[in-house]
Amino acid sequence: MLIRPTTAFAHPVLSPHTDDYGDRIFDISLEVEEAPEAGEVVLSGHYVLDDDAVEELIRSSQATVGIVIESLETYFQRFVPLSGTTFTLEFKRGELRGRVAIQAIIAAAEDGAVLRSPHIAPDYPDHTRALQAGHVVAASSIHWFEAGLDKLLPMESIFRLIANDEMEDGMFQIELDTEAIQIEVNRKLYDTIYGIRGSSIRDILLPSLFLPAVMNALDAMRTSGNEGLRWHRVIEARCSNEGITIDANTDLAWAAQRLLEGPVGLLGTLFNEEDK
Amino acid sequence: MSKLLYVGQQTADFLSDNVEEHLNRYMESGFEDLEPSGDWRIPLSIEADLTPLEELTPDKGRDAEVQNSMLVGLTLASLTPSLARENRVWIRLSHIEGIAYARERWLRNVPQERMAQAIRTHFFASTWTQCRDDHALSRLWWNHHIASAIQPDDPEQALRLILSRADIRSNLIERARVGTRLPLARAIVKRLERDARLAASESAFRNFMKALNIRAAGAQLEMWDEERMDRFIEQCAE
Repeated sequence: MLIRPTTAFAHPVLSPHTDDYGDRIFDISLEVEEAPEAGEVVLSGHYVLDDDAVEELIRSSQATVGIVIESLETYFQRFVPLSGTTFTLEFKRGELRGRVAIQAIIAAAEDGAVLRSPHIAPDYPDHTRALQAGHVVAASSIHWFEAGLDKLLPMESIFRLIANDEMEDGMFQIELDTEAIQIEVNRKLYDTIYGIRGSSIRDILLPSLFLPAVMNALDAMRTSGNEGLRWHRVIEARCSNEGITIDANTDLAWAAQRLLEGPVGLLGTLFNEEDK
Repeated sequence: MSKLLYVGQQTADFLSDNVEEHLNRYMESGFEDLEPSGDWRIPLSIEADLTPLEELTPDKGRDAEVQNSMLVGLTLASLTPSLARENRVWIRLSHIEGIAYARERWLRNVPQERMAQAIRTHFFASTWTQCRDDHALSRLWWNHHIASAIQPDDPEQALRLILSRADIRSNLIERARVGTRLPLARAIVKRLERDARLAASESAFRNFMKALNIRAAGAQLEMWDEERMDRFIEQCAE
């Protein structure tokens, strides 16, 4: 089970989300290797703990350190106890997909384990420092990564250009209630854009057409209703991979530029090529 | 045995965007005539014999659901969880090999005005919840997958208990943060097997889950041995 920053405990817990142990640290360094086509993931790394009393609990087997891996989209959650400070965890059977959380946890392995760290905030009375098996001693920050192929799909794959003669000349309209984001333009503009897509200046479409379309999509993702549509899943996966959170405070222009990898920067390349 | 097939993105989008236009196909004629052309036949690297899917029974109720879950789980045993989240695998199966079952089970007697919505719910597995709970076939696969993880030596018995009432399925399977904790889920299923009152009463099970949520909050129960976990579950059930 993941220990979320909002979880409250009646005893001191060493975690980046509490001040219970002052400036003491417990965290993991994590490396993710993934072969998404094969559904294979290898997680490796080590944990860092700089509290001697907690280390002693582990050394004396009164506490166990382990890694929790949670992938709700594949109904997978495990607590893997570690025997040393380093770990290599292999998932070769497609166990992980979507947003995957990884957290290191130290938990009491037996009743009566006592927290003796001198770094514990003094306002914890003695009786709160005696634990029962399963009580959490320390929790690292939660590390996330996006497993699977969705994050690798090109952004262009979620757009569909549609000719609609009711559209004014030079104007486009974004429709978000279909699997791909539909960009509707009149026939004349459709032919122009279609021609540009097959030419060397096709990158100009990223800042001029796709950037506002992605902003519209991100805006729609602030409320529920489109989760089942493909464009939503792809953008969500890419946001998760880029560490972008979509909520009322998200700067949509910034987020859309991140997803399209700085599309306005392509203008420089295009003009340089034209100058030559 | 042959390669398991899935549909291309173009076909998946085409079907999803044109449900209303295809109502007659869903109800009567099917998609066999469209299947030979376009990207309906993209092979996966895994193989399966889909003939047993013809034995799926469209009855409602626990016995049929258990039987069907076993059938789909065993027929598609080579699917990994990651592949079993792929909408396009399930679109292929519900539109071709499993359409007769999906139609009889989920569209028969549905009023015309609710037909398109029923199709979107049970023939497409776009989101995780649709995949786990709603799609005609993927729901059965995930039932079996979860029951096998909880009780590998007798998934059918675990299915009988988990599917005995809607509230038990929803507490164990739909609340993934309980069901995915295997030592905990195993102990709950074991308790259901022994405790007739808990297995039979919705209010008893609701109180049990409430006690469990309060008592287990913030604890790493995976540290416990089986005996301690059973004791804990027994206390929650009292």
